[in-house]
Amino acid sequence: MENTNRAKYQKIVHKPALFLRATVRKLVPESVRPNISTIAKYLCIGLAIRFFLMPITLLVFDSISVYFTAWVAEHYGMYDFFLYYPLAYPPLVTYIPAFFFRIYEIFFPGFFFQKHVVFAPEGYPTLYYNFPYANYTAYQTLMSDPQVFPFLFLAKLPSLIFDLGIAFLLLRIFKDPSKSLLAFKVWILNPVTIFTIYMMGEIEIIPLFFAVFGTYLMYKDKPKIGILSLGLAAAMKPLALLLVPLACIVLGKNKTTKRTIKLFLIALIPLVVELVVWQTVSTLHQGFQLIVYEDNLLGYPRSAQLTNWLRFGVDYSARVYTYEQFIDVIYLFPLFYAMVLSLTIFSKKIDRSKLWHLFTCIFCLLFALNLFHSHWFLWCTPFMIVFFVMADGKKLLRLFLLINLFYIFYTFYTWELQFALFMPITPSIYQQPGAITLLNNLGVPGIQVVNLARSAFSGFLLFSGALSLKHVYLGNQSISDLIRVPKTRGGDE
Amino acid sequence: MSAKDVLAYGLSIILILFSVNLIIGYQVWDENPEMREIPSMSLDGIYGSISVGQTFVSRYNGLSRIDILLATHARNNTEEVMFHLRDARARYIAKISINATTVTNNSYYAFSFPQIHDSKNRIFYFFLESPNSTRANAITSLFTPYDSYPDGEIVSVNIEPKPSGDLIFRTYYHWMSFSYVLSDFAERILGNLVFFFPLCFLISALIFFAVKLHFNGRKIFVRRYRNVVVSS
Repeated sequence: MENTNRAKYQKIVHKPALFLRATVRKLVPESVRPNISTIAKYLCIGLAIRFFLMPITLLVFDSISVYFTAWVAEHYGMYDFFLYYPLAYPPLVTYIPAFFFRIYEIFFPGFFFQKHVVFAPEGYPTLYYNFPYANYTAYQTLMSDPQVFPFLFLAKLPSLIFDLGIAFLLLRIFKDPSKSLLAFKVWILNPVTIFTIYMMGEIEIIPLFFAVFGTYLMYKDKPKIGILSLGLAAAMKPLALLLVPLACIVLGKNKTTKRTIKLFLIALIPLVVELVVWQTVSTLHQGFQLIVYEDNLLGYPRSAQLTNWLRFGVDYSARVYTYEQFIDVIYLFPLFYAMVLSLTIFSKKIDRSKLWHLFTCIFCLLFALNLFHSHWFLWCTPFMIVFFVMADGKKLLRLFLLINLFYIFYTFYTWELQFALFMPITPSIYQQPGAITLLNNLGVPGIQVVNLARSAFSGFLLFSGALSLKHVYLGNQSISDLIRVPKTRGGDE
Repeated sequence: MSAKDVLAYGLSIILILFSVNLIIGYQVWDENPEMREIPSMSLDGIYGSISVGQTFVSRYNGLSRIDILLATHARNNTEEVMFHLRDARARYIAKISINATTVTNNSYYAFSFPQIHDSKNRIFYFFLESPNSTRANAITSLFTPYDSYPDGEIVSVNIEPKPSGDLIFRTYYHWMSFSYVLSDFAERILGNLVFFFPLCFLISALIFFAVKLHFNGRKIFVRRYRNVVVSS
C-alpha cells in the first residue's frame, strides 16, 4: 500500500516537479544558480500577482480592439482586415496573439468573439458600429459575458511568455550574480510591467522582448542577429526605430562605414518585408487610406500613410516657438536626439557595452519631452533597470522607484486607467469618476496637480538621461575630473 | 534597497491609491463617455413656450445631481430658468429655479436635489423652461444629433423642426458601495467556477511555494546544486 502511494506520489508530484526544476535550471545561468531558490521564490510571487490580475482587468478601449483584430486575422486571413481596423500597431505583431488564438481554438472552438461578432452592411466582421472607437455600451455587453474571465486569461498568456523571457534575459547580462538577481527581482515586481501588460492588457511586451533580446545579442558581440532582432522589434512597433541608427553607429565604430551601412540594411529587412507584403495588397492600401481620411476629419492635410507616425513622433513632442508670427518651431525631442546621435558619432569612448546606457538615455528623453500613451513607458523599463543596476547597483534603483511613482500620476490623465480597468469585475464600474474628477471633488485643482507631478516625472527622467550620458561618455570619471582636464592641458601648453 | 522593499513599496502605492479613491469618491459620474467625442449642436434658445428635456435611465440608486451642458450665445441673459425632474409616470420629483446670469457659456450647469434612494433602473425625464425669456435674452442647451445615448432621447416642445438625438448631460449618484462591487463580482465568480476554482488553486500553490522557498529554499535547492557542481 505504502509502495503504491509512493509510486503515485512519484508520478503525480515528484516527476513533474523535477521536470520543472530542470527547465528552470536551463533558463538560469550557471553564475546565479546558487541563488536559484531566491529566483524561484520571486518567480512564484510574480506569477501569483500576474495570474490574479490577468482575468479581472482590461483597458477595454485599446486592448479589446487588438485582441479582436488578432481574432479576425486568425479567422479571415491576413489581407483584408486592416481595411476596416485602422490600428496603431503595425500588422506583423497582430499575428503573434493570432497564432495563440489558433491554438486555443482547438480546445475552445469560436473562442469568445464568435458569439459577439456581427457583420457590418459592408460585409466586414465587427463588434459594434464605429469600431474601434469608444462605445462603452458595447463594451459593457462584452464584459458582461461570463466567459470574459477565461478569455482574458488566455489572451494575455502570450504576453507572459515574452515578459518572462525578458526576466530570464536580465539574469544573463551581468557578471556579478547579485546584480543579475537584483535586476530580475525588480523586473518581476515592478509596477509598470504589471500595470501595462496585465492590467491594461497591451501587447507592447512582444516588440519590447525583441528589442531587449537584440540589445543583449549586440552586447554579447553578435551584431548581425542582434540588429536583426532590433529590426524585428521596429517592424512590430516603430518606437524601436529610434534605437536602430544608434546601434548601427556603435557597432560600426572603429570599423568601416560600409559595415555601419550593412548593419543598417540588415535592421531594415523585417520592416521592408512587412511593408512590401502589406502595401502591395490593394485592400490594405485602402486601409491606410482610411487612416488618411480620419486625419482629414481631424484637420490634418491629406498625405501619405506615415501621417499617423509623424504625428506621434513630432506633434507629441514639447516644442519651442522662435517667433510667434512665423511658423518656426523647434521640437525638443528631435533636437536632443540629434545631439545624442552626434555625440555617438564623434565619441571615441563608446562601445557595445554602453548600448544599454544609450538606449536608456533615448527613452528617458522621449518620455520626458513627449506626450505618450501610458503603456509606451514600458519601453523605458528594462533598459533603465539594466543601466541603473550596471551603473550603481541598488542606490540608483531608488530613483527608478521614484520615476514609477510619478508615472502613476501620469496615468491620472485618463479616467479609463483607474476604476474602468476593472470592467470585467463589474461592467458598469467604468462610470466611476476618474482621478482628476475625484481631486476636483476634494476641492483640489486636479489637472494642475497631475501636471505638476508630470513635470517632476520629466525632471527625474531628464536627470536619468543625463546620468546615462555621463556614464556613456565619461565612464566612472566624475564631473570634477572633467572640469579639471582643460586646466592641466592649459598648464602643459 | 532589498526586493522586499520594492514589493512593499509597490503594494503600498496601489493600496494608498485605492484607499484614497474609495474615501474621497462619494459620487458616481454617469456621463456617457462617447458623447465627449461627438460634435454637438445648440438649440435656438429656451424661451416662451419652448421647453427642452431628455429621458434617461438611472443606473444606480441614489440619483442626486444632473449636469447639463448649457450655452449663453455669448451674451448676458437675465431671466429665470426652471429645471424639472419627473419620473416615467410624470410624477413630480424635483423643481429647481436658477437665474440665467449664473450660466457660463458652453459649460455644464449642476442641478442638485435630494437623493432618490430607489432610483436604480427607473426611467426619468428632466426638462428646462423659461417662460419669461425672449429670443434675444435666453440661454440654450447643447445636444448631439446622433443617438449617442441609447437609453433615452431628447424631448422638445414647440421647437420646429423637432431636434433628434440626445442632450449632453451627466448624472450623479451617491457613492456606489464597495459591497455592491464585491457582491456583483462574487455573483460572477460563482457563475464561472470552472475557471476560478483552478485559478485560485494555482495562485494558492504559487503563494505556498513562495512561502516554502522563503523558509526552506536552501534545503530544497542547494543540495541539488552541490550535486551539479560535483558531477561537473
